[in-house]
Amino acid sequence: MNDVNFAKCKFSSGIVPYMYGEMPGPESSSFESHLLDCSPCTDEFAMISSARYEVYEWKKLEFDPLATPQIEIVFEAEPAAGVSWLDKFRASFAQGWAIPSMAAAGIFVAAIFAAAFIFSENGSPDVAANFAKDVVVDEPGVQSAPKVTATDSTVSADASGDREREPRVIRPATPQRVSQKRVVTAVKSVDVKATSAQNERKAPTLNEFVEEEDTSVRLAELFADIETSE
Amino acid sequence: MLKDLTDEKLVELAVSRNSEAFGEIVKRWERKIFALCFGMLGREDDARDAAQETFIAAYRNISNFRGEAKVSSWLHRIAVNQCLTTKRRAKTRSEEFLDDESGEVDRIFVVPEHRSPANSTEAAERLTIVRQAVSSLPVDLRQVIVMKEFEEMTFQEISDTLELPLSTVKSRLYTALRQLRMKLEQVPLEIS
Repeated sequence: MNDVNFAKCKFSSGIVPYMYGEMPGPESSSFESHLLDCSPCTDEFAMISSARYEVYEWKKLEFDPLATPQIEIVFEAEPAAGVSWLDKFRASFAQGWAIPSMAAAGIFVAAIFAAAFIFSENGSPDVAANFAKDVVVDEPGVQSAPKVTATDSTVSADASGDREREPRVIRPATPQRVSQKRVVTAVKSVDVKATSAQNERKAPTLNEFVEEEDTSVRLAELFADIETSE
Repeated sequence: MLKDLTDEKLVELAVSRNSEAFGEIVKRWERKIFALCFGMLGREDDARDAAQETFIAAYRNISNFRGEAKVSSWLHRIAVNQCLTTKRRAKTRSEEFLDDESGEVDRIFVVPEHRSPANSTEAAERLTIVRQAVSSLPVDLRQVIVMKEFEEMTFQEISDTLELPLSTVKSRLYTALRQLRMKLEQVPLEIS
C-alpha cells in the first residue's frame, strides 16, 4: 500500500466512520464507490478492519461470556444517628398520616383556645373584685416591713394608720391565683421611683418596733377566771 | 513447500489449476479478508458468507490476474465487490420484508463457529497477543478503543464524554487501530 497516495486521498478520513456505520447515507455511497476504484484506500481499509476484528474477537471471547454484575443500590437508607426530633416530626407527616395528624393538631389547638376562653370568662369577676379593692402585696423575705397597699395605679405607705385602726396578727397571705396576677399588674404600674424611695425609708430595723396592746383573750386567762369563779 | 512461496508464485501455480496452491492462498488470507468483510458488513455471519464468496470468485477469475497489482489488493477488491453485493441484496431483502419481521430470522440463526483444539490453542494465543498489544497502546488511544468497542459508544458520545472534537475522536481511533495492527504484525505468531 502506498501511504503517500492514501494520505492524499480525501476519503481517507472516512474509513473509521464507515467501518462503524456512522457515515451518512450519501457519503457512504460515494465512499463505497471510491473503495472500488482506489486500491490504497481499499488496502488501508482492510488493515484497519483487521485490527478492529482482533479487538472485537478478543472482547467476544474473553468478555462476553462474563456475567454482567448486578449492582443493587439501596435508596432507602437508615436514618442517621444525629437526626433531630424536628426531622422525625416532619417525617411522621410525610407519609399517609399527614391528613389525620393535621386534623388532630387542629382539634387540639382549638380545644386549648376554647379552654382558655372559658376559664378567662369564669375568672373575670374575681379579677374585677380584686382589682377594685386594695391588694396587699406581700414581699417575701421582708416579714416585718410595712405593708404597701395598692389601689389601681396608686401606691401609698400606711405605716401606722391601719395598724392603729385594726390591730391584728399578720399571717402570710395566700392570695388567689387571679389576684396575684392583678397584684403583679398593679405593681407594674406603680411609679418605680416612689416605691423604691418608700422601701428605702421603711427598711426594717431591729430596734424599730411598735408596741401593741394585746387585747386578745387567752385560754390560760379564761381557765384562771373559771377557777377563781369556782 | 507452499508456505515458503510468495503470493504471486502461488497465484501462478493456482492458474495452472493447482488447488493446493490456491488452498495456501486461502489459508494465508482468509482471516484478513474476513476482517475486511466484517468491517464493511458489521456482522459475522454476513462477513463469513462474503469471505467465502470472495475466494470462490477469486478462484474463478484467477486467470485474469495479470500481476500488475499485489495479490492482497486484488483480493481486497474482490472482497469489497462481494460485500457491496451482499449489502445490495440485504437492502432489497429488507425492502421486500418491510412489513414483515421475518427478516429478523437472519439475526437469530447465526452459523456456529467450529473450533478444533488446534484452533482453540491458536485463538487463546492470539488473545494473549492482542491483549498485550492493546495494553501497550498510549492511554488516550486505548481509551478510545475501549469506549468504541467495549462500551459500544458512538463517536458523538465519545466526543461528549471526553470533551474532544468529533474529528479528533475519529482520528484517535484510526491511529489506535493502525498502531495495533502494526504491533500485531511484529509478533512472530502467524495471526494475520
